[in-house]
Amino acid sequence: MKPRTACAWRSQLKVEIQKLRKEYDNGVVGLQCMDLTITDGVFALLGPNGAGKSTLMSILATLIDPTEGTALIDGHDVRHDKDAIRQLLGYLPQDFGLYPVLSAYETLDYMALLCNMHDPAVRQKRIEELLARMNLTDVRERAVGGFSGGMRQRVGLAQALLNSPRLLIVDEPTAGLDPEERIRVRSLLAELGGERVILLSTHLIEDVEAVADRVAILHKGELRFVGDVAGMLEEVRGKVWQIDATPEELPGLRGKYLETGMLREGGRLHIRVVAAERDGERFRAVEPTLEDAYIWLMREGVDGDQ
Amino acid sequence: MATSSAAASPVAPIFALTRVEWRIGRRSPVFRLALVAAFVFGLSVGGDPSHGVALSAFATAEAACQYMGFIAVVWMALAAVRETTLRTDILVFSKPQPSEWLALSKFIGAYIQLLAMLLAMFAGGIASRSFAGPMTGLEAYLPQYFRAAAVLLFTSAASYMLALLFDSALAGATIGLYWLLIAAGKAFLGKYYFPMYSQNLTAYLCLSLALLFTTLYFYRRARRGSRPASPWVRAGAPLFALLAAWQFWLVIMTGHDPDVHENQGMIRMTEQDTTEGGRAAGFMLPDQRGKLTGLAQFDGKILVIALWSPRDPDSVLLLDRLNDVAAKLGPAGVQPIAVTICEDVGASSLFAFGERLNYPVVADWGTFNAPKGSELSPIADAYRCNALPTVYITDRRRNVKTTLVGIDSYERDSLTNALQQRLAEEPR
Repeated sequence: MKPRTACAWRSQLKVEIQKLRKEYDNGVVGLQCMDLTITDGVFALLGPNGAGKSTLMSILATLIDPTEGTALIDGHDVRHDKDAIRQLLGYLPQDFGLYPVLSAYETLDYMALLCNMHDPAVRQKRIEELLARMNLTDVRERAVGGFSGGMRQRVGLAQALLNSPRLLIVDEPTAGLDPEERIRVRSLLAELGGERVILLSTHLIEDVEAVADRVAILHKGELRFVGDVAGMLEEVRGKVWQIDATPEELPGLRGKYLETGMLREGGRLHIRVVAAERDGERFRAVEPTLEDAYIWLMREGVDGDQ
Repeated sequence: MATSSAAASPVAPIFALTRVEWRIGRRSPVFRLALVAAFVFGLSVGGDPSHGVALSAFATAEAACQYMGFIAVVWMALAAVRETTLRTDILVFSKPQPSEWLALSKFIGAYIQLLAMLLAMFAGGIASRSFAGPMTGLEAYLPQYFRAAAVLLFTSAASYMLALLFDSALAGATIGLYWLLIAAGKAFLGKYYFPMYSQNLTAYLCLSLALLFTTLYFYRRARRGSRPASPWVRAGAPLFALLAAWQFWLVIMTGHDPDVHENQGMIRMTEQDTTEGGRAAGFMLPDQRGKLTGLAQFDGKILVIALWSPRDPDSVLLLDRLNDVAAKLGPAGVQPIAVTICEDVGASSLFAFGERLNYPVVADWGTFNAPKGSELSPIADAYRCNALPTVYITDRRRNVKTTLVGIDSYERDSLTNALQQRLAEEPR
């Protein structure tokens, strides 16, 4: 579970999304009529690729306009008050490039200029702070073209924090990182969560477990669940079972139940399934995990807006 | 946090952003390679021991306009789509910096890189010239550098506009087709199609700025939300468009081809027919200082009328000879007048000042890119000139007594002998 941080000292910010819909020019629907309110702490958007997480984040980051509906950030409309929103926003996209010939310091200096931080002394102080916080001080003069994925991600996070944003949007920040870097990035997010609203998108349950206060699960542009981590677990409490089986029984069980995991022990298999009711003596009740809850909520045939 | 809105003065942020753009550009290995290539290219086009500094400067600028024009097209097209190519666009455009400032600073940064390449090319030209001979008249390079820089500004602005607005380097590169078209259609197109001619520079400068400001206005307009574009962008686009239209109107109306054939003054000049023994065709054309100069101003003098062109390097040698003639025989009543047969009206001034010429050098502004020499210019037509350089020596009543063509006009003793003979027949 994530380490709980001090209370959010200044994050009165609220994101209000109403009937938000996005249809791209090629006819692909990224979001379908979404209603959502995001307030303090770390809010995680969980879902597979193509669920609409990045679309929602791009709309909130004022990079694309919604087709229908409204999204207000601190009362500012994402369609009209873009400059005002960009002033209070920090954004770390999932897939972003850096200028390979610039050093880490120069990259942040440029990004600070883009944040309208025109005073060189203010810029320098802020960049030094962030380099130290992201553990990049030692490599500050190195060209970012030679950085590892984790270091690039930390530069990305630093640039998103330059203007001390009240809303930090981070899209798949741990994707493609090695375990050590993943832990480091998660720790940073958990640390930052006490200071601002963080909207985190991920398809990794571990990220949610580590840092999220609240979760929204998206599937094909629709909301499947909104609530806190405990509430997510409640969704499957009493529905998670372990079945001991032989390899020969496996295809039959898979066709019948929603499998969430499997363990091999000698010649036997322990299959973990989610089912509304106990179906015989072989079913042994186990403690639910977020993975169980996620798979249960994402199952086919379930409508959104639960 | 120290922040400012789009309404604040854009000078400081644009300056700061341009510095970063320059930093990104100058560290690129392609840019460094381009600098070296430009220097080597300058070396190859800029020097000839037998010709003067002005010709070197002119040749360097001509080559720069033609070839660097293509490089500018590609360079700017690539600069315009850099954010998309490097995938930095999402980071950049999630920041509050106005799009117009970003686009302008990127343009200035890339244009400065082109100016640095141009400088390297001119340095190459000057270096090769220094191996070839004395470097008097070095200042001749300066106006030619600015001429080439202005031409690059036009190709840059046009390419940048298309690449930025269509988010495609290919769209920007289509401006290269325009360059090819005017190179191929020199003999058919009016002179106002050519940004490299000095007389068109102001019009094309205004057009460049109009294109640039239009780009700034339309670039990622939706990104502004309900905020209008910066006032200087809103004012700049129509202002420079109007100025460009006015300048083009002036250029076309003041008689550049093809309208020159409808200009009564030009028609009258062309209708004259100069034969040996007959009266030298008169003209009234601007000299190196822009002052209208005609033969009537030199009544009673022995005139040495020299038709030459900077595009014919050998004829440039004649200019120096005429300087000697003016210095030595001027007091005896000999007056050289050079008529520049060149589409670029500014060539007269360049050579007159670069070579420190002490006699009038007038520009035949009716010169056209005709393939046949006799159709080249009204004056060449009037003088039945078919080869350059040609020198016509008159008596004191303006009748042509001697015609010297080609090498006879600037080498051997033909010119001196002819003038000595004329002075002997008509002493002061």
